[in-house]
Amino acid sequence: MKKGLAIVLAMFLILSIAACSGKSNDEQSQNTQNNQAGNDTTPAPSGSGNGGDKKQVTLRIASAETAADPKKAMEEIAQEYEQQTGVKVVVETMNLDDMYLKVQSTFGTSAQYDVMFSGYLGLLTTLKEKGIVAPVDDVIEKLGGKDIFYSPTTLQPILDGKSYRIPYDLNYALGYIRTDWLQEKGLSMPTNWDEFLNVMKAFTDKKNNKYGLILPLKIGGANNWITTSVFWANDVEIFDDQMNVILDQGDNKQRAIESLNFLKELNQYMPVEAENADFPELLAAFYGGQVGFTFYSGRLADASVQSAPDLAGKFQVMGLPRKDGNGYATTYGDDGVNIINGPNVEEAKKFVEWFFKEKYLKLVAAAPNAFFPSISSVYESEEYKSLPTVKQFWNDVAVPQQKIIQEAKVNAISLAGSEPTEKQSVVESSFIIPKMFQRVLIGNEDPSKVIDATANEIRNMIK
Amino acid sequence: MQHKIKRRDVPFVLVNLVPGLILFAVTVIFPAVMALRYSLYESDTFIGKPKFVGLHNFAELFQDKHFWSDLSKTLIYAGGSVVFQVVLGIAIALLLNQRFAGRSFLRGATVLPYIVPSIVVTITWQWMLNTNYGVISKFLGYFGVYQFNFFSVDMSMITVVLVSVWSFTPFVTLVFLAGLQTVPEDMYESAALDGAGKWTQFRTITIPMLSPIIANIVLLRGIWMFNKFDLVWLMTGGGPLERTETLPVTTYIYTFSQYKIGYGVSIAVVSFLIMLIFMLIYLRLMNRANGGTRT
Repeated sequence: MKKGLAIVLAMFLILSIAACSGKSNDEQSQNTQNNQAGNDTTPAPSGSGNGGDKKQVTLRIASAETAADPKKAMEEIAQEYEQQTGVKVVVETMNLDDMYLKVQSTFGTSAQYDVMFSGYLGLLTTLKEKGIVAPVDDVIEKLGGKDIFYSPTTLQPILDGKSYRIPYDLNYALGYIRTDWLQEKGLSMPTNWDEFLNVMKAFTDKKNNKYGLILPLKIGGANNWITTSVFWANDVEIFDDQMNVILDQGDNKQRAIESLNFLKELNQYMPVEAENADFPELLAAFYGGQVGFTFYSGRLADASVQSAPDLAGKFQVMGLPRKDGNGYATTYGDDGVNIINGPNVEEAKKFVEWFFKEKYLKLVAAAPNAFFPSISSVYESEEYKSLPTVKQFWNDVAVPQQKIIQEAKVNAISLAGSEPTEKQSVVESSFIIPKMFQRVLIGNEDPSKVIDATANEIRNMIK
Repeated sequence: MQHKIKRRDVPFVLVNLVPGLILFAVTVIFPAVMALRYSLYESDTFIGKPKFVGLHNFAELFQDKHFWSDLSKTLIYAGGSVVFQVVLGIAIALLLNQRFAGRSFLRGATVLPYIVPSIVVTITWQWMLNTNYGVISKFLGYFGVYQFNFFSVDMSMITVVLVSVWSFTPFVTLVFLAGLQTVPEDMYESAALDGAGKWTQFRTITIPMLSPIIANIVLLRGIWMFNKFDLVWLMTGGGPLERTETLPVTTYIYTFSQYKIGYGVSIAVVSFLIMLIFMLIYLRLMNRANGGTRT
């Protein structure tokens, strides 16, 4: 009797598990392959198989624009597109960290996204390899070709000769320095590492809780994006042109050691919060007058209007001085649009084209210094220049930002080496470079040994 | 008294059991089986066909120093926070078991930290402990302690344990308080008549009477703290220098940050097995304590 009961219960369990197992990996893989195949063919009109009935089409947008004004602008743009074309556009706002997971886990399902408005996406190569993103060269051509963009921005999206991303703004890591503090101390803008250290030292008054600078040392995206600037300012390379790891090789290793030692010296002029600092801590320290220098995007200027209006006219944007004084360095970043393979790919392309032609300035206006226009003619336009916060910070933010974009030594983990591959994505998402900074600054480990260990770890990760 | 199930009872038993078992299968067994399956594969995305690697992930895991280091951090975190929760939980329960004005209000207020969501707990404590403007840092300033970093390499684990204790002790208190209500008052009266002091009463009556509850609480809270992710992740993200990187945090980092999905899931599977071993030991001990009868 007991045996019989046990068998019946076991059957129920097995059946319920089987019922829940859903689509198998094989099926999903098949779906992916189908979508990949659809890359080079004209996809069927979107909707529920209703041919060209646009009212049936719903475009799902994954947007990483979480700040209130850009989020509102995105929603309004979506509504306007629906009013004009009858195509419903649903904007789902999410953290950038969640986007990659959401996009790929919904890919091939009825809930998949059609367009991504994402921040600096180091994992683009992986998305491309998996057939998730569609090439956008045809859209770029319709917008006027690649020449309409600032040249550095075209570096990032080219993969296997095709572009998979249209940058809508540039987010280089910008240094913000308190010009009133410089004046007070009788100092000028630092132009090399020695001068920079002197300025940071002069800014520091620990008794009164004043520090030279704050850099994000917490393991995370901010550290990957900002703190790596110390490498680029000394021409440190992670990969060579053949994508071999050269961080621990010859002169390059020496330069990496110098960069880490420079960071150690800077650490003396940072508050203890730097150890756990991410984006919010940078803003808090700069707005609160605790530090005289930090890095951020143009958002620091935009948000200061509300959060720290007293700072107006007291700061200026600069890059990180290069060691030898030969100009400035910065880390690349952008926000861009990706189109996701699937049944709505053509409709998504139409939407993106319409967005850039008709509504680009509307989005830029929502955070005009943060959304530094990726299209040069927009930066030059009177409409952009007349936006209130652009006008307010024209000399202190917009002009120096453009100068940095055009003149500074620009690099990033995802730009390391000769061409974008999954290797850079692996290095970026492993946060191994931020861990290296922590080991030297917080763990007091020998920079030379840490570089050797890190280089070997990278080799293991990408082999 | 045990009652033997007869044939005519079967439909009734099934009607009662099957809905719960299906729910259990869907929410517990199915994900567990899927996790076990994922741990045998290698994949860097959640789509496409993963590569079957057998037990390779586990072989790699057991050779990974990082894993053993994180396991020890997890045991320190879980062990440390459970010990404090139990000690403080008993102390507060004893206090709340006394008669005094405002006892009911205090009993209600004690539960508050437990019902506050983890995100609110972490943000509030991060503010309070902030080196620059935190109220606790200000308070320490009155004693000449300035710029104290609660999230430094040396302090971060202690801070996370203490915040966890603050957040979860109320649950332990409630359970002990309920247990104390079941201890007959006359046992204390008799002991007092025999000249036993408060400490002797506590040692010889309260603790023995609460021991089954203590065992349960240690096991349950141990499992919960071993698997605790949100509070640690939100507080420190596992840092600095990976000092608070417990196994759930490592699992998340590998699976959802680095997209080493099979490897990340294999950590979760090993965590599950560790907890299973603890649970089996506990059940055996309980069985022995109950004189070998089935519990």
